[in-house]
Amino acid sequence: MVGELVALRLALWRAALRRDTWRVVVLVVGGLYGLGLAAGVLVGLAALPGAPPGVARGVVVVAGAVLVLGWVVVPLVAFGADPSLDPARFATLPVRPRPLATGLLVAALVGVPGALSLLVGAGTALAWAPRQDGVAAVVTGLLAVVGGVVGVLTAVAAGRLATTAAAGLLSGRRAREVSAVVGVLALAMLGPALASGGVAVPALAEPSSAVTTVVDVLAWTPPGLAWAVPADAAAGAWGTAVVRLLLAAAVLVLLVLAWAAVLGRRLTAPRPRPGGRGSGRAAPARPSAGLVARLPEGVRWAVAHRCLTSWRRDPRYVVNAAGSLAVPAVLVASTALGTLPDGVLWALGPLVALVLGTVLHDDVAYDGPAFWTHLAAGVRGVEDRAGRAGALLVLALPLVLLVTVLGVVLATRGAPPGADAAGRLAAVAGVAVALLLAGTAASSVVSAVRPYPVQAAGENPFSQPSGAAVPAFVAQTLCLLATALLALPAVVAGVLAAVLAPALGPLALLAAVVLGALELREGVRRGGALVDRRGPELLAAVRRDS
Amino acid sequence: MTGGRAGGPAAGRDGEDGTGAAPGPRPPALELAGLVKVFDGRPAVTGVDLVVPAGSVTGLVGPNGAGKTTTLSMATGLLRPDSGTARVLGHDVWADPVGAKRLVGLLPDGLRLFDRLSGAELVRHTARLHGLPRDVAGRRAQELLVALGLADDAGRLVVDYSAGMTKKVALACALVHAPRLLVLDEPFEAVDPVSAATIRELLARFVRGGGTVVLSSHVMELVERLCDRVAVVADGRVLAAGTLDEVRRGATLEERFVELAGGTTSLGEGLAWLESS
Repeated sequence: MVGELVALRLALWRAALRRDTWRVVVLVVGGLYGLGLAAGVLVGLAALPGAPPGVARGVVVVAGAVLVLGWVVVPLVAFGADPSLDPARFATLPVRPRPLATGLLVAALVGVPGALSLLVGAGTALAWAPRQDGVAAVVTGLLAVVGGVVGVLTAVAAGRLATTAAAGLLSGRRAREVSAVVGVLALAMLGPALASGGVAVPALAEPSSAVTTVVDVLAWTPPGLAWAVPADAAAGAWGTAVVRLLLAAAVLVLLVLAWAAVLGRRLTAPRPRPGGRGSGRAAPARPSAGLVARLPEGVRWAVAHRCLTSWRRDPRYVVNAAGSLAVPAVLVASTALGTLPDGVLWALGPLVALVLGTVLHDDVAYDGPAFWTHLAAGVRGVEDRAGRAGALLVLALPLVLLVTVLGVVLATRGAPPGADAAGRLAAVAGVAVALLLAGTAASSVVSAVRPYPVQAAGENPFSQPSGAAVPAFVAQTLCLLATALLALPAVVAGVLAAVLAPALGPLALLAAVVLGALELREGVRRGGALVDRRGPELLAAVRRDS
Repeated sequence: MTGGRAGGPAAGRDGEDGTGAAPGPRPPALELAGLVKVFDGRPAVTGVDLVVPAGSVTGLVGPNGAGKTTTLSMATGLLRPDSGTARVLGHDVWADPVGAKRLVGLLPDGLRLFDRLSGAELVRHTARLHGLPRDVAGRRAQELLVALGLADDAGRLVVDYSAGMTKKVALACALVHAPRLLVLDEPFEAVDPVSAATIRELLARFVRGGGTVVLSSHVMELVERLCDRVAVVADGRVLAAGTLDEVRRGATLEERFVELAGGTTSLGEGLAWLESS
């Protein structure tokens, strides 16, 4: 069973690589990136013998626990990203759960993440063996290797158990989408979290600090057990090391047994087909209210209404909207931690404006085949463009202005308020508005030129349709360049006003609004003409018969 | 003649055209001439000529891959033909798209809808895309959803609908702007018998009001029951077209179809082990 499943996985890889050249590139680049990452970790581990034992122990145990967490969380969020080993696929075959569980466990290690995890897990020996001499060093090194492998196996088994158990819970469309959105945001926040974690490292050197206590507790919990083994050995506590290793092994066995049990249930009661009818429990959708329900009559506002509904209900739009706030969140966190100067907060509003302005550059592809509705109804291009731009601006204008004010207030903390401050705020708001309007204008044209395929609304936001990487890059670069060019005069005026003549700030804002509005009108007109001329070609480009 | 639809052929209705605006013969509801489409060197439609008289229910029958969907897409402005013309009640679909599309209601096969809208929102939205004011759109959407038995699910997202419900809500979208020509691609696929009866009734009423229906299907019995005219399509061409009796020539439509398409019903040798148990 083990051999067959590993062979199956390799065969699936081969087939995928042969079918799609870009997969090879992605695999090579991903593999190199992973190797680089692993090499970095190994170098770091090799440097750890120079650090105090408490620091080395804390780093290895916490990093090991994070690895376990990663193997549990990422597959949960990235549903469907790699369905080749989905247990539900074996439901129609006469297999027993326990050999299947072992086989799937080993097969899961075949692949870039599995191989690199094993490498790094075994590599923890580098951190501990040099601390001792002779036989003790060899034994500690061996314990580290065994502990590392057990730790990685625990991670994989826990991940598989979690995915299999959650498959039932996450089979509803809504549950899957919510978990995916949360996952994307969690990953976006990983950087700042790690940065703040780094601040805590020095405290590890003190045996009685709160951070050390956390590590002590973690070392006795399932995710930390295996990783703490060599630290005991290096400290000469051989008995503790053996007890921990046995406990870690027991945890692993229990996880595999539990997984086999859950697997057995799944094999007899496979989950409903994803994307199929999501049972009868889907609740009625909340109808639009407030401003959205009071948009004016007219075709363009009908389009805007639909777009605004998508911003609320389509996970891809939700991720985009939340993602535009990730950049300012990281900047605010970094300045709070002191890793970046407060001055960067001046750029907070303009940055959000830039991200939101270019968000529409592939909007027709987001419609997907549903774009036929516009085509069949004979919606004129300008109405289509104006509706999309209108929906975006209804959301983005207030948001950008809010973030701009927030950024300027945070950047000038402690400085006395005055006429200059107000003038500067107006100037920065001008820069932000210019970028937002120029971006929307550029997107209105770019999205009508050559849409590139994106994942459909119900699909995993981690998976990108194959062959989309290069066109996506081209379209995004084009859109950013056009935005920069269009916004340049207003941005220069705004920056000059903010730096040299705050009194002229309101004037710069006014100029930005007028220029931006003209650009947007032109973008909508030109994009609209493209849509009128190339409507059927646009539909053909976004039809992905999957 | 199979029962079901009494009367019906277009000839009986020409004189009743109450509008009286256009003297002379009414233009055909749909007129396709020399339509050709080639995908990446693979011909999908190799020259379709078809005249659909106003007031008729015309069935496009053919096996999977015959070019039915491609033909209907070119007839409704979704797919640009390599050559040939399509006219809806005299309006050229590709020269006067707005004029033609105003008159057409389309139910495509296998194309997504804006499925993050609820059923009611989707029908209202489609109506407003056609330029109807909000209150009219709301009223019509409500009436259509009630007629199609979707009233209880009107507030749920279309993405959570079953395949049959999706078909029905798409039909509501096709009807909401009161078109003169309905183009339905596989309208009865995945639809349960009760809903199918509802849809047939709705279509009959639409035709009684002077509308024209073109529908595609590979279920011959259904076409025989529902249509008064039929066009047999295979390999991207129209093999035969006319009234049901003209095409059938005394046989059943299925027999006639297999004869025209040159199919075979023999499985050949082998597969003996299938009978082993």
